[in-house]
Amino acid sequence: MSDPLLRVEDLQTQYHTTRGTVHAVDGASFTVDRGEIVGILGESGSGKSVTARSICRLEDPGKIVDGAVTFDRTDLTTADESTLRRIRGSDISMVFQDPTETLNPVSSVGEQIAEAVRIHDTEERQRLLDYLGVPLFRNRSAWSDAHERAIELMDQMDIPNPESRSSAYPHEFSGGLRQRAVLAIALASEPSLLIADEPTTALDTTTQADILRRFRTLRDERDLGILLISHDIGVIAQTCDRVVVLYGGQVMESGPVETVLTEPAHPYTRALLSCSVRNSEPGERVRSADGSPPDPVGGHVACPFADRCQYATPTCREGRIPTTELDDGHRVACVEAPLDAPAESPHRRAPPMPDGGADRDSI
Amino acid sequence: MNGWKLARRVATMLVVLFGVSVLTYGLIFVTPGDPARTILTQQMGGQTPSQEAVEQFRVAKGLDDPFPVQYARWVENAVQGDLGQSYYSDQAVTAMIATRLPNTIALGVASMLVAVAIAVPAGIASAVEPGSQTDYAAQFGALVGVSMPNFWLGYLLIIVCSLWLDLFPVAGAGGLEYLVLPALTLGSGMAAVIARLVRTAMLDVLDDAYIRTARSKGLRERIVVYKHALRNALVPVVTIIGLQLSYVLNGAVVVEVVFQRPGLGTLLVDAIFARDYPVVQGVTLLIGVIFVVTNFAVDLTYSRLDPRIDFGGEPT
Repeated sequence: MSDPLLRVEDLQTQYHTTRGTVHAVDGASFTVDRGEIVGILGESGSGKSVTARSICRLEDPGKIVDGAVTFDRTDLTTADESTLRRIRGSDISMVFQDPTETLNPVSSVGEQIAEAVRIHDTEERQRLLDYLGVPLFRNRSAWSDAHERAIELMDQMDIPNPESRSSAYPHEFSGGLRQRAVLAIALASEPSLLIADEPTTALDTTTQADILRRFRTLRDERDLGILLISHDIGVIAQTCDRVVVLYGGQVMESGPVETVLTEPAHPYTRALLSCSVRNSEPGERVRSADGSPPDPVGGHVACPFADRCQYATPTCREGRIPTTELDDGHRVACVEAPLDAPAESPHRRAPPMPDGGADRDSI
Repeated sequence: MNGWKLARRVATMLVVLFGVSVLTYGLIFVTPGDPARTILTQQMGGQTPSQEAVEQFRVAKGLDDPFPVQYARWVENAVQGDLGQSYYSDQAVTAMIATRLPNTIALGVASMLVAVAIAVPAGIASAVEPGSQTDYAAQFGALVGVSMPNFWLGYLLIIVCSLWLDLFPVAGAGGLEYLVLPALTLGSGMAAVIARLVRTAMLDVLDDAYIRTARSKGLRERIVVYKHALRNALVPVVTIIGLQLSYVLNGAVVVEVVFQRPGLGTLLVDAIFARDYPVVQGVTLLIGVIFVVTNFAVDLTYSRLDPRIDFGGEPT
């Protein structure tokens, strides 16, 4: 199969605010294939989450003004609501940031998983009274099958005592268990693409490692394509095959993780890496990038990073920066790229390395 | 829910009821005018009653005892289901209430149903598309509903629906047809308040992350709204419905007068004008009890609506 599972081309999503039009995603392009984990890396406000939601067409109140999102040969930007619902229910699943908030607090965990199972099962219309559980209208056998399947899914996610836990409410679960329940919901439909928006940000390190390990297992065992959105270089480094660095809604650099994170060609990627705690000497102050993320109102006519970039030249401010391919799959949007080797800091000898959650002990 | 909390809650309720009964009973002693003189004057066709007659009346009705004694006697009897006799008809107050109560309950329940049936769909329609024409129409309707006085809406409905269109009886009580206009009158004002609250609560909830999760599962929007959002928005709504009960009971006074319905409202108004204190006390106490008990029931529903809330509205 030559087509990738998901192809995002020149995606532009905008919001209208009283201050003006926010160009949250400003011409981003990337692909995700089956059996690979693609990371989207960026600071807050770089357009990561809006990109994720735009793919599923949950960008409301924003609007996709241009570009295409092709999933399995269907263009989602032009698909109608019922097609989208079918795809969301069965082919693309999403996992969002904080599992405390992404599960409905008044519905049992089992019921929420069972719902996802039933959506996938039934081609017929979803009936309101059936889903509300109004006695005469509830399809008892379908729901009890779905609940059984839910327990199975909880078991697969290693949630202890799934039979008794399925009738528990989200607030009775710990953070890690909740995120596993969220994963169970996402996997109930046996999707081919999983979009995870900061799935581990709200979790502690141990739980984070567990969830990320599950992503890798899913990729290897189910040939799942995963789009992992994170601001954490460490998470991206230990999980992803490829990475897309997003800034100001535009792709700054993309390519295989090891290339991008060890030989960053874009000044922004370099700046991000140098802020990593791992790259500071003991006792040295953790660096932070100068300046703040660009104001997305009105969009950018030139490189969005130009104002914070030490290499910026007048050319950088004159228009769209063309994307160049350095070597296989490694693309960068910078007129100065490839940069010279970074100026040696007197404190640092080793090349910059990302933080890593899993291999922390080796530090 | 645990038994200790329930007991504590019941104890609080009893304290409130004690306060209600003291205030209800004590009210007579702070209002100007001596009931003995007022009533005897009326019974004697406007003549000033003799001092002996007044004394005799006071002794007969136990009005010569000090307040605590009178109060204790009243409570003792009330607990046994005896609220005394009307000064005028010598009819038992409980019997008078018993004949009127069903009409008022019917009115209250019907107007609540009208209110909820209008308010919940209207509030949801507003919240689903804020800023749309539906939203503006619903909000405008709510504003009109809140601003319109009950008696005026009542007369308006009588003129249009009864006199012009001849759809419903003008006044009185009886079958369902007598209930329609009073229930609409009383229900529309409540509907307005509830609809605004449903809108606010739903707007709040629809922004929550689990709504996005529900949509990302591929659920139909209708199920997202009615199953996932509505239930989360219900706690404040149910609270306000419980509190609106005082509005129902107050409104019943006006609406029952407008529609000439025999009910607690008309009974209370007549008794107040006639200084028929046993009746005033009995009805007021009953209204207090209904109010306290209903809000207790509302508290009980919280933990059913939202499993995170332990009994009594305290989060676990």
